[in-house]
Amino acid sequence: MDTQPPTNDDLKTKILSRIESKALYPRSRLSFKSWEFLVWCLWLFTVLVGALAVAVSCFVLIQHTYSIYEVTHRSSLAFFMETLPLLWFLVFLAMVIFAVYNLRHTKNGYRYPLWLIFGSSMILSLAGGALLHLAGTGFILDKQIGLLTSYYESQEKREQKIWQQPAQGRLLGRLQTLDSEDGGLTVTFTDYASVIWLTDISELDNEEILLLGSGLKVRLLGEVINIAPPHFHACAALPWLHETVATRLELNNSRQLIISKQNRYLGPPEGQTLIDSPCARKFSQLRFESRQ
Amino acid sequence: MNQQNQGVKDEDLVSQTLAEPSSFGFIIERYEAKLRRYISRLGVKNPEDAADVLQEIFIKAYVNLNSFDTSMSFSSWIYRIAHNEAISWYRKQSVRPEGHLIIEGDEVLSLLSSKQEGAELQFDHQINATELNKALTTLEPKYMQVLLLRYFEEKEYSEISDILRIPVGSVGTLIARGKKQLQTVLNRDNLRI
Repeated sequence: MDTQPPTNDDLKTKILSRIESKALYPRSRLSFKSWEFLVWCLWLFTVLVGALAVAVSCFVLIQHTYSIYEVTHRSSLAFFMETLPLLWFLVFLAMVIFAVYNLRHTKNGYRYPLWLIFGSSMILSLAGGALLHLAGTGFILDKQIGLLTSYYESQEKREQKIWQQPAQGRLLGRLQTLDSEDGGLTVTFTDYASVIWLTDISELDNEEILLLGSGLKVRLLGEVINIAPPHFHACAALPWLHETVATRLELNNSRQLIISKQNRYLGPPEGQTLIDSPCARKFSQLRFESRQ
Repeated sequence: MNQQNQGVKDEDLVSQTLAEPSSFGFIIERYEAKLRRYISRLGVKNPEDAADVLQEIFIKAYVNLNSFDTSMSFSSWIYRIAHNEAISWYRKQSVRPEGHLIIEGDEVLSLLSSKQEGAELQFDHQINATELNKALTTLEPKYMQVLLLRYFEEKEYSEISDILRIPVGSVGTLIARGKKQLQTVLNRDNLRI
């Protein structure tokens, strides 16, 4: 059997006749350009989704910075572990990996080292996410996804869960009636579970009473006096900061209000309780790092 | 090859082919021998198999001619197609790439030692081509492929980067590691002083 390779002319003739017989034509430049465009679009999409994940994470983390975790959790670690936006961290990571994959599959993507592709995709997502967060996108996205699906626990839902805990002395809701028989010291307050609480507000400051009277959703910190009929003693009233994007000042004010009230009841950090009242007992249970 | 086209650049031949398909014959003439040798070194040994693979390479090159742009050389572009086709051929055969190097004796050996990347390899010029051939075929395919392109096809790092679609830095790393692995194999066989 002849095992000699085909001659140059043989191969050329075969290829040219195959091209002719099968009517082969070079694929259009447009199809290659379209494919390249699609890959770049996918890359842009992954970077954008990564940026959205960063924006939501920024929103959640900043909220956490000013959260009154001493009121709601045993320790800062327990609080952060429970409320870290792990889902969004995972989304961000997955998007960076997809972005790297897409960039590597662009026409010249293979020319750049992995660290450069990975780093650039990550930095673009982080920078984009920071900008989107400043524009309030993180807050909107978190809230809207929470409203759209019951599977997603938005920051708002999470805070609702944390603050609607009567047994722990926390209520979330609105004032129902300010008029009362005892000179405005007792009001009715409807919580998030639609339970109507007769609420003693004698230890609230004027600003807090004004906040309560505004009809807005508020958080109450205090003690349950009686379950049936529901009777609550309010020690602090804080604004609900999830209707719009809360400023750092608003977040900080809530935290400072609790700390200042605790100082008022307990005196200096090493001091003893100055006043004997339900609220003094409530505040004596709280441990703020800033007081230590 | 047509004397008239000997001095014509590859890029111009591509343009000619896009205007007149029969000009593709000049590209075939120019690259057939080089690519036949390359795929043979990659392990497509049988002449009939090589002819089939070569046909596929040129047909793919023709159909995808519009994807070629001047950001890389035409040579790198068509070598990439050849490389991919050879790898596909292995996969279809379900065999591990097995190099079938055609060693040009002392010429390649001296090239290997003279390149001095890392200066970690000083080959014994007494090593015969057969032993080197045997040693190269025992390397991991990724190392064998870069060493083959560098020392047998005499490609620059940037060209190897374009052919294998890996960063230039990785080419350097693979070459250095490949040479080290080669050194180990040769030492194990007492083929190095």
